[in-house]
Parts: sequence; C-alpha cells; structure tokens
Amino acid sequence: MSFIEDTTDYNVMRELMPEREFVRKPEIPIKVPERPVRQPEKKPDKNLKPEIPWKPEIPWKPIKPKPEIPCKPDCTEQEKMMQRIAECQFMALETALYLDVNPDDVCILNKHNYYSSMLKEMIAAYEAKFNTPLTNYGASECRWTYIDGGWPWVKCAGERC
Amino acid sequence: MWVYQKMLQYPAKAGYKDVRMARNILTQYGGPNGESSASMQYLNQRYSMPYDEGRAILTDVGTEEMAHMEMVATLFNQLICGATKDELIENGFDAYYVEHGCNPFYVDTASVPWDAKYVVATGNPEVDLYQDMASEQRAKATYENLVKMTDDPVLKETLRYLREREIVHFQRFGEVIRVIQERYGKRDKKGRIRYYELEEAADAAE
Repeated sequence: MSFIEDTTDYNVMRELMPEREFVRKPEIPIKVPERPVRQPEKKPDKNLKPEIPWKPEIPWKPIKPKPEIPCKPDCTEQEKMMQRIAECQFMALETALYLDVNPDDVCILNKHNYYSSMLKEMIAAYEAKFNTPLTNYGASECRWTYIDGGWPWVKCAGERC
Repeated sequence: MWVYQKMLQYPAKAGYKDVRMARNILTQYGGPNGESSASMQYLNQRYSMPYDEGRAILTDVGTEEMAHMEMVATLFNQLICGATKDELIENGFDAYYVEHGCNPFYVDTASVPWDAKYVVATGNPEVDLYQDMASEQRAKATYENLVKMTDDPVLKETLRYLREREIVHFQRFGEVIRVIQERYGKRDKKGRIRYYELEEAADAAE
C-alpha cells in the first residue's frame, strides 16, 4: 500500500539504465475489515436478581476483640480512653499500610474496616465526653476547648523549661 | 492535605532527665538518617511514582514519619526539661542551648544542620524505592545504637517501638518493589526495563 503516487517514467529509465530492470511495483489491495452486524440488544428481565460482579473468596468472619492491654494503675479515665484510641488507631494504620500494597486481601480489609469503624466511634465518644475536639475540624461547646487539656509533648501542663 | 490530631502515635516517655541522651536523640530529628529526612524524602518522591500502590505507601509512610518526628521531639523535650546550667555545660550542650534553648532543632549529634542533600529523588521509581528501603534500615540501625547508649528502660521502650516501625516500613517498600517489578519490570525487545506508561506511549507512536 502506498500513499504516494508512483510517477516514475519507466520508459525513460530503461533507456538511461538498460542493465537494470524496472518493473512497476504491484499494488497491494487494501483490506477493509467487514463491519460487524449489530445485534439488537436484549431487554433486561426485571424479575431476575442482579448478579454480584465480585465476591470475596474468603468468608467474612466477625473479628474477636483482643483482651485489653492494661493501663497504668494511676491513670485517669481520659488517659485510659486515649490509650484505647491509640491502640485502635495503630491497628487501623498497620492494616492500612498493608492494604496499600495488597489492596485485594479481603481478610485484612475486613480487619481494617472493623478497627476503622471502632476508631470512629471511640473518637466521637471521647470528644463528646470530655468536650475537647482532637482535630481543629471538630466542634466544641461554649469555649474553644481545643487549646485546653495539655498538648501531647508537654510533660506537665503549664510548666516551662 | 494533612490533619493534625492532638495525640501522640505512641506515648513517648523518658524515665528521667538525661541531657547527654537528649543530644544523641536529636540525630533522629534532624540527622541524615532521621525522621525528617525520611518524611521529606517519601513525600517528595510521590510525584514521580507512576503506580498507585507506590503513591499510597509513600504518602502513608511519609505521614507516619511525621508522627515519629513529633515523638522524637517529645522525647527530647522530656530529656532536657529542668536541666541546670552545670548539667548543660558538663554534657557539652551549652553551645546548643545558647542558640536554640530547650527547643529541638534540625541538627545531628555533631550540631550539623539538616540539609536537603540527605534527601534523594531520582525520578526512577525502582531506584527511589531501593533508596527508601536503605533509609529505613539506616534509621533502624541508628535506633539500635541509641538503645545501646541508654540505661533508661522507659526510654528504651519508646525507642524500640520506633525501631519496629522502621522494619514494617522496610517490608512495605519491599512489597511495592516486588509488585511493580512483577507488573511492569518486564524487558522489551531492546532489553530495556519498562517503567513508565509514558515511555510505552512514546514507543507506540514511533
């Protein structure tokens, strides 16, 4: 197949160079693929249940909560709740890092979802109970209590080095 | 976008005041193998990472390193809190104190300030990931050395936690390398390893 027209004058060329053979190149026919005949689409049956496109191979099991890690004997209620949140957050983060690379692992995804939902509940409970938003997107009543209650790096509140 | 949560990832605690150790711990804050170098490196490498697994892991690990930075700074704060003038001079910390007071600063143990030279970004995802794995191992080794340098059991526990996290990050980076090598690391007819969709598109256009 050639797009450029062959304009060579072969008679002149033969006279100029008689030892060489000049033959017009045979034209290769262009193959046109046949258009597929369009089949009329079938109307979906409303009575049929829709098929689930993907089904996890591993059966989903409820997660057994592990025994709580004991807190220090002199810790307050707030510290205790914070420790539970930190534990939950750690599990969610650990599973999230794994899922970043293995996004199709249903077993770990199940675990991640469990800890993720639990974490959400616990943070909501903490924020409601002590009226201190953990992030500056949170809400607080009467006063902006985000600034109160000590910051994580401060050893003793109100103390300066 | 980042959201700050008003809590530490793990309760960073030191058993007692130790100015010498505070100085040593600073290397994990602003040293060549420290958390800030790691965080800056991973978050910076995201923009040339062509695979979603790599993008996700670089973002999440880089963010976690920021949380570790906060933990190391907290440790420093606790170790130096309440130090007297004599203690600072005895431990050779007076020069640092004059410049930065009791605030952690991005320096290593020899007071060399943090440098962008510590960060590597070549734009080649495989090379960058191998570099990240090496960074994790270096940070892990530094934590091990720090654990050796202290007798404080409470401080040791926190340092061990941080060391463990470096191992987990190392594993995840290794998995990303495996994933991208399996998927895109096949050699073409010219014997080159394929990295980018862009490269393939350019070859198809040829």
